[in-house]
Amino acid sequence: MYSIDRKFVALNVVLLVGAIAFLSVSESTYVTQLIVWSAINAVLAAGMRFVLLIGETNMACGAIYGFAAYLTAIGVTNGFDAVPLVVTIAALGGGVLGLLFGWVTLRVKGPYFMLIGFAFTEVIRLAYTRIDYVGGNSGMVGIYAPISLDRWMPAICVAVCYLLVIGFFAAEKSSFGSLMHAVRNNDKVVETLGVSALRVKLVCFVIAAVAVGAAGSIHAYSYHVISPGDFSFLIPVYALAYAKVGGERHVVGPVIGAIFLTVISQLVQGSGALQYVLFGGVIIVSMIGVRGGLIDIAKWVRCRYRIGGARLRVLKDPASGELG
Amino acid sequence: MNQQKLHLSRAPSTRPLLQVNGLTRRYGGLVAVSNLDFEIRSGEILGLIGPNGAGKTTTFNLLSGHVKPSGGTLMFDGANITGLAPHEVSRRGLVRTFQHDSFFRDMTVLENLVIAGHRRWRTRRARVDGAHKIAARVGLENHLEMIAGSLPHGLQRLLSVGIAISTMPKLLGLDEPLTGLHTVEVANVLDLFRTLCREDGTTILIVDHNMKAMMGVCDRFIVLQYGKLLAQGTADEVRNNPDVIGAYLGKAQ
Amino acid sequence: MALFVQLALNTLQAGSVYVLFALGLTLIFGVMGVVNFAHGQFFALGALLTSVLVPALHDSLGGSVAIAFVLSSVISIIVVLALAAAAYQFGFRRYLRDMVGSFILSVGMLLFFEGLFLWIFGGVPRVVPNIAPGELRILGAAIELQRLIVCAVAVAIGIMLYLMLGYTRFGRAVRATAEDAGAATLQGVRHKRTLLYGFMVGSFLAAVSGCLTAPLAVITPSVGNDYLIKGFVTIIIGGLGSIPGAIIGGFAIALLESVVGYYLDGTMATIGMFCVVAVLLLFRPRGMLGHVQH
Repeated sequence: MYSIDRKFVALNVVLLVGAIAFLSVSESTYVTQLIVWSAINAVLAAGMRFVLLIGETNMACGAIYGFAAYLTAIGVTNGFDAVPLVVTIAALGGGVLGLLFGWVTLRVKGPYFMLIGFAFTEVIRLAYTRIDYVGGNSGMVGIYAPISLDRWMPAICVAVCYLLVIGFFAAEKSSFGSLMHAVRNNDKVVETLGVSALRVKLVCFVIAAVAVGAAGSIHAYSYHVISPGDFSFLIPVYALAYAKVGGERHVVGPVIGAIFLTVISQLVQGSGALQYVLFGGVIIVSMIGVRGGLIDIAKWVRCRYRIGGARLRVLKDPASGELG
Repeated sequence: MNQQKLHLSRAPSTRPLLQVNGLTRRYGGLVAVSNLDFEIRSGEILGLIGPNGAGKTTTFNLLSGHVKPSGGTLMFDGANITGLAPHEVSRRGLVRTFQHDSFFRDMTVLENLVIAGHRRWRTRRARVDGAHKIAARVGLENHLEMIAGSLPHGLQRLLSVGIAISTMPKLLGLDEPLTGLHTVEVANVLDLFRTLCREDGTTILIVDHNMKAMMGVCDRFIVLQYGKLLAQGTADEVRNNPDVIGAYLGKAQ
Repeated sequence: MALFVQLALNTLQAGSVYVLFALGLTLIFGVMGVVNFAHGQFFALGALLTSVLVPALHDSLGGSVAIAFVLSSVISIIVVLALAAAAYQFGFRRYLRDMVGSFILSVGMLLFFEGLFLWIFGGVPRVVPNIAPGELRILGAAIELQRLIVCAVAVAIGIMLYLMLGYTRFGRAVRATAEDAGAATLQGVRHKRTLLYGFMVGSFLAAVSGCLTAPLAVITPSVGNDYLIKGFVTIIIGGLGSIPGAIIGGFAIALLESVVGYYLDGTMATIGMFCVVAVLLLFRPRGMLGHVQH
């Protein structure tokens, strides 16, 4: 088991440093963009993992992500300039969509829940292509924050994503988080405690939906252009890949996986076919090779080479002759 | 004085805690439970028995809300609980265990009981304290850090009972609590039931096949056959009932 | 009347291929507990190889297009089976009964193969020459002869599969393993072997659907995704792991497509399909005939 405090602090430090770093390197738009995209993907991945904690695979997050992005685009296009307000409304919109979807479908489990989420994401995507108000197949453009905020947007985006991930962490560690864990373990016994398992699943799902909605809104502000094709089943698929490749056991895992895979996908950007090959290859290797994900590799490296305090103590005890 | 009969020295209250009227459950053409009328009295230990296929499990599931009745009513402590969902029935104070895995496999015993105290206590500290007390009650105080899935069956049963009593139920329903246990484990579990009943005043309903054990701990019995009520009464009354003997084809003690 | 017959013929022909594809998918899920999103890539490889080999063989060997087609299909299927064996040995073997894990692995494969095929075959749409020129007229409706042949072959394969599962030792082993893997081993079923062969049979079905589709449609490397989505919709409707369900589901999807596609358009047909799935799952959470792996 990890020492939670150490990982938590490490996460804080890394992200704070990162946020400060690009505020000062903001000339390099490429790196800034990369960091923002990694942050958005980290939220998607953390959201996927959060729902995995109740034992379900949330393939509907693509629909929720896209819905919030479109809400944001509509808001901006209609002159709503207050970024916090737009993001909040988009996030809540995502939450409402998640509530409606979850209320109907969380009675179903496992592969069926996964596949119905997949179907939902695809239907919503197809629906966008038919609605002219949101630009049909071409989507919507010109989604920018007001000029005054422009310089700070990357920092704001990353800060929001950071807070969302912290939120997931806090929720998981709370007593509600234990309930979620219990529901995954044995939902029938949870019901004998007077707690509705369906309600626990629904609350978990809505929490993830609100966060994913916020991420979708930030996606709109960051990419400035959205179209239906951006919100296909590949969104939840990538989110799942980030979570699995990074490692499911701790909330840091999906974040690391998201950063790692986002960077890789950017490295092969524009080489068309090879992008898929490399991305797919990384996923395959992660799944076949290290099943616990990148955080497991990190732990293995740490144990093997005794990085940190432990090394200082690997000395022979002069009295007993034992290694201590 | 026979230790096993000691519990008869206190008189169970005759106010019915659970009143079952005309309870019926049909599956297409098959009638699994037919027009059951019986009651469970506060403070007693009631045994629900009958040969295989008699409808004991169905009846039990009807009481706990896991199966919806086709007809009839269930009145629990004055309230109509007919057709309520399982978690709502549990909230009213009717809590049950399950035959297999009635606990959280991947968590420690302590964590199991902390979660069990979710609705009863509000803070983590209170839940942990409560968990320790429940563990002591059921005899698991030395196993708090063990993963539930790795415990021997007897201790797992004690854990499942511990989880169930964490909510301070009025009626505790036990689904085949003695299956797969050896003699010493059975004795431990039975002792726990007697303690819960005698000291905490918990009413207990047990469904099980271990006749010898049941005869030693239950105040009264409900005997089912083919989904209908065949007989009810004390251990002696039921033991000597010719219909019951016939139903079991001589398997009863 | 002619319209009715036309729609029925279209349904029959398209459905027979959907059914083969879905049968492979449901077989793999039923026997191994694996959700294989790369199934569409095996289909695509079968279609792509066939579409490349038919003109090549026809040009170099002469003879009829039909013979070139048969040869190409055989070669394509062998290649796909080799790939499937490798995918099982190095990948899926570690993720048996793990739905989420096998799913992600298969997604990795989906991306990997899609990129690979794009790189090897290029994005150029390919057309296979007509393998049996001419058309048949029934009751005022017309169906291309080659479509009829494809349909017949698909039905024949389906029947062979049914017979194999029902009456051969291997078939019984597969069904037993799908039903209860532990008990099957006790009966002497060679568990790991059965799983491998089950996966191969399933992938064979994907490959053969691809080969059969090559003469009928324009083939690009992304053709697999379309079939994949429809395939999953089919097996959800029919029930994961259920063979009769895959058959019913496949024809249901084809029917929906034919009818809605005729009166509205393809996109609406797809939307309609998903809505049907959603509604069905809410009232029958296991699909019509399915059983869930634990």
